[in-house]
Amino acid sequence: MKILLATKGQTLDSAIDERFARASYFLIYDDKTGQLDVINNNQELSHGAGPQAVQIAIDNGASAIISAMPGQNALQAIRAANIKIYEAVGLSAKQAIEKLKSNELKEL
Amino acid sequence: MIIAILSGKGGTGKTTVSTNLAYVLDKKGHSVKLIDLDAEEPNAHLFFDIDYSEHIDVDVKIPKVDNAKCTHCGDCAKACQFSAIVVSSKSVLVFAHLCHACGACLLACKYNALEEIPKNIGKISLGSANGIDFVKSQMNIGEPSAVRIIRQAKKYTNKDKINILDCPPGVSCPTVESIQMADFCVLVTEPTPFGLHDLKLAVDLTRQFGLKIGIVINRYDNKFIELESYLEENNIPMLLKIPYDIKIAQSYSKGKLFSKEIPQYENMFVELYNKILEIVQ
Ligand code: SF4
Ligand code: SF4
Repeated sequence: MKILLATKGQTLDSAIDERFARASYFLIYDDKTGQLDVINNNQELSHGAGPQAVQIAIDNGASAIISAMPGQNALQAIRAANIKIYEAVGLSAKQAIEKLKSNELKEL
Repeated sequence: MIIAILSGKGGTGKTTVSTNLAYVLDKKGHSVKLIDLDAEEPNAHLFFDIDYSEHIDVDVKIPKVDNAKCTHCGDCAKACQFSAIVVSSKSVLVFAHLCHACGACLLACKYNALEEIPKNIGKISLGSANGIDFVKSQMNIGEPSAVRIIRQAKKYTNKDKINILDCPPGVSCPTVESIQMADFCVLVTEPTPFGLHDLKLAVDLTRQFGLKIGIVINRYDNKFIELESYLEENNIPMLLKIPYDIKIAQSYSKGKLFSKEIPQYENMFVELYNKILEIVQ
């Protein structure tokens, strides 16, 4: 399964960003292969950031998102695309992945 | 003649100038049309008793997906620069309130899976403001862009009249749409560093379109000289200084026209118009 993590930095040690759509980076983590792709989220849209972030998740084949609470638009798109979303502010990406595996993350 | 009244930022007094100029010119026997193009926050009507004769809906066309034809290829989402469409293998979602109705997605769809449906984004109201021809543009709350409404409202200019356009604040697309056919642009500013900063942006914008301009300084208090040196250095005509006068502020806050309430200010707007005429001709 591929997971999109909305983070402040480029590694699995970075913290989950307080914002979903405007997070600094999106990490795409494949928990089967351990492969990590880093997307620099330097978008400047004044509106539409939420839908764009969800499109990035879809285009990268993510079936789960770990982030802060997304906005209304993003949430709607996440639901329509049938992606699972988990909240994990305060954790690092690595911690969040571990908690996801042990079913300790709150699904939104 | 079309006179656009604009300002680099909101709250500098462009509606004050628009409404008082319209009132005084009408009083002096000119045939005036006042058009409020600030569709996001129209407020020129607050200074008159408006008798509306007609309201016209402004609709745009937004995409709607035909699920039977859609292959979920994602081309429409890629074409949309406003991220108003999200395509997944399960769904195509159009965010109507983000859609600018540009039509790019329709062109991009190879499967003819998008059709257009109308969406109302606001209205234009026609009427009479104490005898002055009046047009108000009004955008629905939450719409992303006022450009289409402004484009429609502009069609009500009348070449036999003096058209005064109360333009949207700022220097983005709605303002650009508003000033394009103007014979003259009045830039309203205030004597502060912020005022000057935003004025420069507005000057740059009007110069890009090669428009004739002049400046009105509102709440003039003789203190901030950088503004006047900037105007001199750049050869920008100074049309009018509206003094910092508590009586003007009071009349504004009551929704009154100060050129009507305080008669000694009436002539100020006649002179403003004369200076505009001089430059235009
Ligand atoms: S471009 Fe057309 S076919 Fe492709 S996803 Fe969009 S609507 Fe469907
Ligand atoms: S019409 Fe333009 S803004 Fe609206 S969804 Fe299509 S491409 Fe996006």
